[in-house]
Amino acid sequence: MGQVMDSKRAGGRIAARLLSIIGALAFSTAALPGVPKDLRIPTGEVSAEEVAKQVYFANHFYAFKNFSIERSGDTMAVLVTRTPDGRTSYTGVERHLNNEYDDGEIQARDLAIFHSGQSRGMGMLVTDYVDDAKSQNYMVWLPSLRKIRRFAEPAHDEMWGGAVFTFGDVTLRKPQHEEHEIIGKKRFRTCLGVIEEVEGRTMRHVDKMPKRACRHVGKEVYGLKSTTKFENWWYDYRISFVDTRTFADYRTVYFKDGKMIKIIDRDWGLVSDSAEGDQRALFWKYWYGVELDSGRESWAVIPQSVVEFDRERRDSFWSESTLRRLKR
Amino acid sequence: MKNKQMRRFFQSAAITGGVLCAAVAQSATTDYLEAVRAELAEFETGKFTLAPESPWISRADSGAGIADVEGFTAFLRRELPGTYILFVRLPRPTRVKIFEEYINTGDLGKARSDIYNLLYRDR
Repeated sequence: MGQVMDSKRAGGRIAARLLSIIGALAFSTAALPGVPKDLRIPTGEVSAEEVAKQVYFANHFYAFKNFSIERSGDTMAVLVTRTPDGRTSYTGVERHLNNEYDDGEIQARDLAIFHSGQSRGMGMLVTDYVDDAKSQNYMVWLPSLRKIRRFAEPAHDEMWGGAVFTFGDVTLRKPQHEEHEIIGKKRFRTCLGVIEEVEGRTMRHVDKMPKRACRHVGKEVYGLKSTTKFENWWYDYRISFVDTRTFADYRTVYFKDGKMIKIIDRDWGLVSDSAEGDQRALFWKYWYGVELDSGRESWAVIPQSVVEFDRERRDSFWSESTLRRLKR
Repeated sequence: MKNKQMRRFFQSAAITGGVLCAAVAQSATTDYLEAVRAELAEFETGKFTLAPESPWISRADSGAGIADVEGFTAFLRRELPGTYILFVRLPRPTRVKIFEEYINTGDLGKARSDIYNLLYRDR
């Protein structure tokens, strides 16, 4: 009995960590009635709320029917985490998002498969519903137990060990959770952050880690101040640098009691120069985050060579049976 | 005795090295935070003030990044000399177009194949 409980607890811990890793690399699939998948590109003057919705659209890959970070041999996305004592760890992951549901019930499904690190062999299927009141369904395949476990939606501020991204940062936070204000418009001037110790270095799954991204220098950005509506929250407000044309949010700086506490930088790229005729048809090339009080850093890198979109694939791919077929 | 001295030497060297590495890492983080603060301050003051030697400002010769077609050319010359030789043979408007596409997509592989195709295959 004790062993069963231990194994359940271990499974729970593993799943919680897995959820956190997914948060760090996730395509967000949270639903929002105010942000339809066919949200139009605004013309003329844009309100702060409209900018927030457009950022949500870009971050949820609504410009695509489906979007995948495939695995090609050993090449796939990698999440590197560095602790303040200098230790780094990495996890390789393959991901598949499906936005093409028209049954009025399911909004999107997201499948993640882990190929290295402590979560190797694990898989997760996240189902998001059209009904905003219905929480997401998380199904996790735990190879050590050879069982699927179901979990409720994690807390917005939940994060894992070395990774600095919260579920709210990448999956759960919606425009209506905050009040928005445009504080200005200017040119973006600096390069995006990286874990300097591994910048440009050889790394499993991606061959070489990229160098800091400076491609966005000179692009026009809005300053979007978003103040949380949650009480006693871990941040008071955050300021995002949002591209005025593509609505890519290159940088977000979090503040608590007037002090800068966390930064997240995102390098974005168009999937191809003429992709979809929609300037929001973007993907994340990397995410970098640093927590200023602890010094923890995380860096998720997605090689362009394994990015595919609008691929012909059966809906049954996003199902429990795919999880059950995973091998460690 | 000699072994003991050698061990002490290596221990102290390792500690010094560790401290130096930590100092370098700390300094780099400070540079990054200064860059972020300068970006934020510009919304309030309308001015961007950051030391020109900051490694977070894009400069063609720094390896830190690419912000214009000249920077992109220097980057190719340094990192992909073969591609650079072909790139500089293209007319300037084509070079600008390739650079702009790279800025949007971040896809260096496509930029390389486009340069090759424009010079040879598409002719």
